[in-house]
Amino acid sequence: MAFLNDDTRVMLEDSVDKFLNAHYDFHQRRTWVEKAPGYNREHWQRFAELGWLGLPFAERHGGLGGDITDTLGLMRRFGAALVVEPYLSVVGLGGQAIAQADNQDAADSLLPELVAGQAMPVLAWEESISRGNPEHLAASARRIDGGWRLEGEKVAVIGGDLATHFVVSAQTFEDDAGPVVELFLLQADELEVAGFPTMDGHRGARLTLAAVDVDEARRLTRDGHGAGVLRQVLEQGIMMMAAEGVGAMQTLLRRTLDYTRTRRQFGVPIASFQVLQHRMVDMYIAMKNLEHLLEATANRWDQSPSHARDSALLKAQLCQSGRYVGQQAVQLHGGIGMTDELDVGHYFKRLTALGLLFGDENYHLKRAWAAL
Amino acid sequence: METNSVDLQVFRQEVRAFMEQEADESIREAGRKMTSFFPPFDQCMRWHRKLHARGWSAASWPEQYGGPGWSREQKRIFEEECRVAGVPRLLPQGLGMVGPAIMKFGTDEQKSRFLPGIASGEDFWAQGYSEPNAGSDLASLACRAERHGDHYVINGSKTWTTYAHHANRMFLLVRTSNEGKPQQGISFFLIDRLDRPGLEIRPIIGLDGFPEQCDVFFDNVEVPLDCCLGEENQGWTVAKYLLEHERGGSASFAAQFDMELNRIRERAAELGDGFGGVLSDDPVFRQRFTRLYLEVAALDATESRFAAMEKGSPESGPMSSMIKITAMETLQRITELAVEMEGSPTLTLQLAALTVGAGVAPEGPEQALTVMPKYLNNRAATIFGGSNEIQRNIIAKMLLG
Repeated sequence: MAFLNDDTRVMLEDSVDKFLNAHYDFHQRRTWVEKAPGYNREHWQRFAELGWLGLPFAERHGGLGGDITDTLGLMRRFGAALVVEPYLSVVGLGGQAIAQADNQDAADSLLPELVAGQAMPVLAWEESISRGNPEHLAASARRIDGGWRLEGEKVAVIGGDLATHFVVSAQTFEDDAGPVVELFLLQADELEVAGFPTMDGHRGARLTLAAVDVDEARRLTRDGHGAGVLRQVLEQGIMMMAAEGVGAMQTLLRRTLDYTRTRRQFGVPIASFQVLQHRMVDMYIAMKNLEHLLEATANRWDQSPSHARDSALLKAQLCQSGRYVGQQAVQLHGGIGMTDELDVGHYFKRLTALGLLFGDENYHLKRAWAAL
Repeated sequence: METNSVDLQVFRQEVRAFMEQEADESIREAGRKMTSFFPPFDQCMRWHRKLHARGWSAASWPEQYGGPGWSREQKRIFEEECRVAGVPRLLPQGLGMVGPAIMKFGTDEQKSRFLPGIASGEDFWAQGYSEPNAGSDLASLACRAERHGDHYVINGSKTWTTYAHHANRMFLLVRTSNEGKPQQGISFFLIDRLDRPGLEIRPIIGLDGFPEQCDVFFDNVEVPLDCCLGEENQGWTVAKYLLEHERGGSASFAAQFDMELNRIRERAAELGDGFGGVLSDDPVFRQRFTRLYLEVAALDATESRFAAMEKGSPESGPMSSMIKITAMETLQRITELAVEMEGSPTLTLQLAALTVGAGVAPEGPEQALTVMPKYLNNRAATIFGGSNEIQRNIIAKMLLG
């Protein structure tokens, strides 16, 4: 269940609709994506003013006191409009990791800045060996006088190109029982950031940590709590991605229905061909499967002791549904669906990215099996 | 003429030596950076001209038009060696499409004027078939040509014209009559120059961020009357012949996919499974991989059967449709597996590193560089050349009458 009351939530979602209708246009999006910083800074400030950045953060940090399920309506709308601002990376991942970690001082100083639209912390957990598993990592943190020395490499850091801070996962070797995972807070200028655009119009980065020394105050978790925080944040992130995916699929299905009703071949609209009708029905079913599963997952989120099974199933469904709806939307549009000019291909690419991030279908089906 | 096995060994050595000597680094780079059916243009044409200098560019052409006169075995060996060397496949529009059509339907004047330039790689022909409102339903095409004295005047547009922005010549289907069935009023034109007034070419950016297809616009473009291949209003016959040649005459998909699968298998032995093991030990990966291997084996068997079949027999049309359906869907599944195998590094957009000759190193593993563009571009494989839905209609017609 959500934390915000229904009125607040409806008001908020209204404001998202109004903003996106007035300011979010696919052709303009192209210009934001193509030049630095890769999104619209003014939008980000508006997100802050409208309270969206504070949605899942505590009131003492300037937030609205909601939880992650309160962001799902917004994420669905963002998906439908193909929003490129790094809400998932900053609010959903970086910010949530800080909020759920053990370091109150860090949270108290950084989260108000995030909510105000200034600080943009993102989460750097993935490595070339991870394949979706946040606990399979090589980055290390070793104790030095008064702090820690971090070494390693992080890849596919989404939003990494525009971050002010990074929440970095690393193994520590304090205990004889073996290494544990902890999270550390780094400033973007403390490490090597190789930024790049991604195929879905977002931004990413590879981080190199070559003996980066930080003081004790930058350790966000203790007693190996980092793994648990990571798991939880990624599970929440999967819910947000699923919501974004549902929104993207809604738009794609609508575009495809509209197109096949107007596109004529052999003297008739191609929507009159039964094989295409059935294809669109299957797209609808794929989308609805994800939508309903997300709803059920969100409804029991705060009562479940573990989200492992639910989030794994949700991600696997996102992979399946996103792939089918994206691929078939392109197929039914024909050649025009293959162009950069039309938004359909961009929705397809975003769904492809959502499928690949945070572990693929194979990984999550295994994770679900382990949690049965 | 069949050559004996000793000669074939010698032939293979000869081909291999040629590849080693002539396929320079930039040609091989173009082979490596192929992300669709169409290799990077400049290096591909340079390779075409090198092959021509050796007399090997038009491998499947009759000797009288510049073919090398190879047996089927020799052609197979040549193709194998090309794959092993990793050189780009030559572009099919001239050698595989309009060339054979000119041989079959052209006048002596058209043959001597156009065939040498196709064989040598001096000319590149673009294919003007599809139109914005005539895709699957090609016969409804509306780009028209009218006779005015000693020339035709063309008005209309073509789209999905691969590499038109690199082409100096173009073959296209135009409407020359509105009488009878839609197929009956179509003519097949050979346009000898694309710098004619009123002709405009605009590249279309694809999902991978590169221009490959083009829109071509005709605004009162004048062409001479002798540009017609075959008789006026008989263009559909030419187009149908060419389509069969295109589907049946192409190199083996199975052999090409087999190489892709080999690469995937080798790579999976290097990549981790996320739990400390290697991906190629993962039973799920093995199943998916082997299922694709099975698809390619079945495709290979069908292709062999098709190759032995008499062209123009009643089953050859539907069987070429079957090959198109299975090959393109298998290809898409292979590219999908490759994306999942390489994972999130494939999300990086790498336009500079993909550009041949740019000298830009890839971000992340080199093996991941082409994986996403291939996945994206090959979504077109079930759309172009008659969508898979259309191919299934053809087979349904055979089965149900």
